[in-house]
This record gives sequence, structure tokens and C-alpha cells, in this order.
Amino acid sequence: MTVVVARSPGEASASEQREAARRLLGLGLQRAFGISPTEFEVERNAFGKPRLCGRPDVHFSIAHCGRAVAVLVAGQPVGVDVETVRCRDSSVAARCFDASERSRIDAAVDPDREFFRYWTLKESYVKALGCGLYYPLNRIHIDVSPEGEPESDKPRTRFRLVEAFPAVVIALCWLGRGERTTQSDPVYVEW
Amino acid sequence: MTMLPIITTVVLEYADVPESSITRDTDPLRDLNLTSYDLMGIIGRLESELGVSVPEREIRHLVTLGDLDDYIKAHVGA
Repeated sequence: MTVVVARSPGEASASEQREAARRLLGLGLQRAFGISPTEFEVERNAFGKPRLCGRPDVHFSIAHCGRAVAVLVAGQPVGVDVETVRCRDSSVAARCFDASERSRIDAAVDPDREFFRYWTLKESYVKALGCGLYYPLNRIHIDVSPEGEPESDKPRTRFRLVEAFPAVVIALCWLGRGERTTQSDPVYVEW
Repeated sequence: MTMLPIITTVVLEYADVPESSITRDTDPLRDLNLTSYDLMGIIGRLESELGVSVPEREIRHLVTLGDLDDYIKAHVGA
């Protein structure tokens, strides 16, 4: 599993985010599968999840916000999400988080950051499934622990948080399918 | 009566785009670079302001702002 992340020096525009994401995807594909960063084509499934043309063995996920871009490449279904930490929206919490999750968020030292930990973890899961908004976020329960990896009520599903940048939370999810997964530390590259 | 002006006002709080670029055909995720978190916030705001409920299972069908307008028109006050 290869994780490539970059932090924007400022608030990046939509086109700057897409351009950086494409470059990081090239780096990730080269590192993980030896694919030339200039010779790959991307298509989308019926739910909008991108995939590599002609390489069903290659799985990847892309996420970007104004502050950062993250790409996850692996040989199994994966999902990544990134969000800028800002004031949490209580209506979103009520819709997408259960009482236990909301309670943990409210009790956290930094509730806004905790909120986006839960949000990005859930989003990374539905991105790994490849169905986006078609999977209601309140159907997965997440436990974020100060020690160890985040856990969920889904079998053969693993998570990781990357919090190397201020005001940015990155969540990774990979679906184990019974395989042993080799984690690798994130590769930090220049924007 | 169309709810698009109200929807547009809320969307503009999340998207840094000119108002003229927002139409019924706008897909907020694809065209406005909004995230699904933004979309959930927009729907929450509209629920609160218009007194309508948009269940989770319906959100998947609301691809464009026109879809959202149609849903709200059909359910506001229901």
C-alpha cells in the first residue's frame, strides 16, 4: 500500500487540486506498481469511483481539499479522504453519526478535529466500497482511540489517520478481504 | 414555486463561484468542487430553513440542484 500526500502552500483552487492529485497519482502508481506516471488512463465506475484502464489489479483512491492532496494506491480496494478542519456542523453530525460517536466528539479536547476524524474515516470507507453517497454514513460505526488504529463494526476493514498537517485530517481505509496488508508510511512530496 | 433561489443562496455560502454559474443542471460535487461534507451541510441548512426532511436514502438520487429543487418542492409542508 502506497500513500502519497502533499500540503498546499496556500488555499489551492479546484484546478490546482486536480492537477496536484493527478501528479501524486502518477507517483503512487510508479512506486506501487512500476507504472509510468505519464502512461496511464483513468475511467470511472457507475458510482463515479475512478479506476485504471486495463489494470483491474490496481486499486487507488484520491482526495483533495484546499490545503492538501492525498493518494492511496494498493492491490486491494482502498479509500482515502481529506478535509480541512473547520467548525463542525451539528446537522451533519445528527445525520451521519450515532449517539456514541457524537458523545465522543463532544468530549474530545478538540471537538472540531475529532468530528473530521470521524467524518473522513467514514468517507474513506464508502470510497473504498466504491459507492460514494450511495452508502449512508450512519451505517458504519467508528471508534477513534487515542492509542492504536481506529476501529469499526465492519469486518476485514482497517483504518488509519494521517495528521501530519495542521488543520487537515487524512483518513485511509483498506478492505482486507482476508489478505495480509503491508502498510507503508506516507510519502510526503512537494506541492 | 421554484426553491432554486434559496438553494442558490445556501450553495453560495459553500462554493466560491459566481451566482450566474449556478443553474438547475449544476452538480455541486462535480461542477462546484464541493465535497460530500459540504453537500450534507447544504441539505441540513435547507431542511432547517424550509422545514423539509431529506432522508439519507434520497440524497443519492439528488445529483443536480434541479433534482434537489424538485424534491423540496414536492415535500415542503408535507
